[in-house]
Amino acid sequence: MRLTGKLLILLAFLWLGGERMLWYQKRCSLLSDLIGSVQIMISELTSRETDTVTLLRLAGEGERACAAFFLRCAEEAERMEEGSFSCLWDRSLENAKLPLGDWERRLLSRAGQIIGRYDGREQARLLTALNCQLERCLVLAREEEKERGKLALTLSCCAGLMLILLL
Amino acid sequence: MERKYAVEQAVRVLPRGIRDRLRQEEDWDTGRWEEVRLRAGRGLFVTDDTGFERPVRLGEKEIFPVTGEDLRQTLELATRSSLQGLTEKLSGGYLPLAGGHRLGIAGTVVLRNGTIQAYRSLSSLNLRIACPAEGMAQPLLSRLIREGRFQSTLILAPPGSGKTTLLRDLIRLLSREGIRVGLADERGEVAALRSGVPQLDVGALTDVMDGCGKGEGILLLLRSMTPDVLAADEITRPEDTRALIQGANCGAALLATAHGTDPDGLQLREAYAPLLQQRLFRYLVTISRTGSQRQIAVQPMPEWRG
Repeated sequence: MRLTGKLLILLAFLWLGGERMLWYQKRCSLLSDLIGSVQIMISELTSRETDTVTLLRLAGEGERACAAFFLRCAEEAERMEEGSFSCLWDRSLENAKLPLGDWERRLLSRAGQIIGRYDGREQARLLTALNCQLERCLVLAREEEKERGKLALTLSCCAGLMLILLL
Repeated sequence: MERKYAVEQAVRVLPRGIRDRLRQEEDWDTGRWEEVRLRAGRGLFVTDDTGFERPVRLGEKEIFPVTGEDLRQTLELATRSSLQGLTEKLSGGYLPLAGGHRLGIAGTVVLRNGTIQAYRSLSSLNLRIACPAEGMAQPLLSRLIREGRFQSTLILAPPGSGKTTLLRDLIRLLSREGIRVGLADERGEVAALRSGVPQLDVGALTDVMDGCGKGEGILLLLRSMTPDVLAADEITRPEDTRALIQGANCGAALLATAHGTDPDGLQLREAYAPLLQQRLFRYLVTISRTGSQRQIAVQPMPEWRG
């Protein structure tokens, strides 16, 4: 019985550490997918001045981690009867619970103030600048994943073991 | 589409508060509205089919208030949060909407290289409700088609008298008669294309070019669609005239509209003089309006007087 309890505690701490490590991994893949989606939007805006709803649908195509977020935005933008697109975007961002840091979330929120607001060329220019920042975020996120992901797993494992010893 | 449904569809671009208030108006479901105007700081107004504009009231005396935010939100709803691809239309002063309705815009503009780039602020919006007037051109058809060929025609009428509506109906009827029409719809007023599909009925045999100048559109249609009739709304530029002349020389009949009331005055206008001088139009259609009634008359194009 005692052994089972100890094992459960260790597993719980391992799960916590693993969860954190997974969060870092998910964040990296999400940022990478976001960059891809924004790139599609830039191309569409530059070549065809595609309307916002179609733009969001195209950004949400495929198996990307951010697909559901873009598709939800597209749906809501199509149904919009009140308010502004930037409010709708922020609301969707909040509801999507994407694994992003504060700064990355703020960057993404800024996209809501760009999309649909200017002519195609200006939007493409601003989204390109935003994508550069997202790319920098991805580089940092990958470094963090390497350093902190393993650290989180090791620390939680140690914490679990310590608790078992103390008990 | 019935007129009252057209009104219902058109007001969907307005903010909910304004929409709800309009639905409470006594003549809301009569389908007689032609325009809904929003003026920032001044209020909400409705124009019916007699041309009478009245304020929409909040209480006994007060006019329903409209703010700059209402105008901004209307524009956001009308564009479906997409200003991309619409800057040219905005610089033309209005936006085409689903169903063929139009949103006229007035305010402070931002100019770049002499052309309107954007609106810094909006002061008035005019929601023009497209009137489905199918059959309006039916009485003209027998006079304008000779031996199965449409005779080149110019529609002359003052603004707001229904030129575009008549043009659209004529195109629809020509298409039904098996005549292939190429429509250069520069500002999207006639067919109101959305995702390639005309929002207003211009007939199955009509090919539409929009988003480019009428002149370019006419030449492209001529090359790619081999139309029997080339149609365009409001010829204003010399390049449009040149394209129409080229079209006529290639054997296509012409169908166009012009602002105005005086046929003689057309001869003095740079865009029309060459067309009239070469006698490219055979008939002149005029529209006059008394109250909600429109009178349409057909006459042979007056002789060129130099």
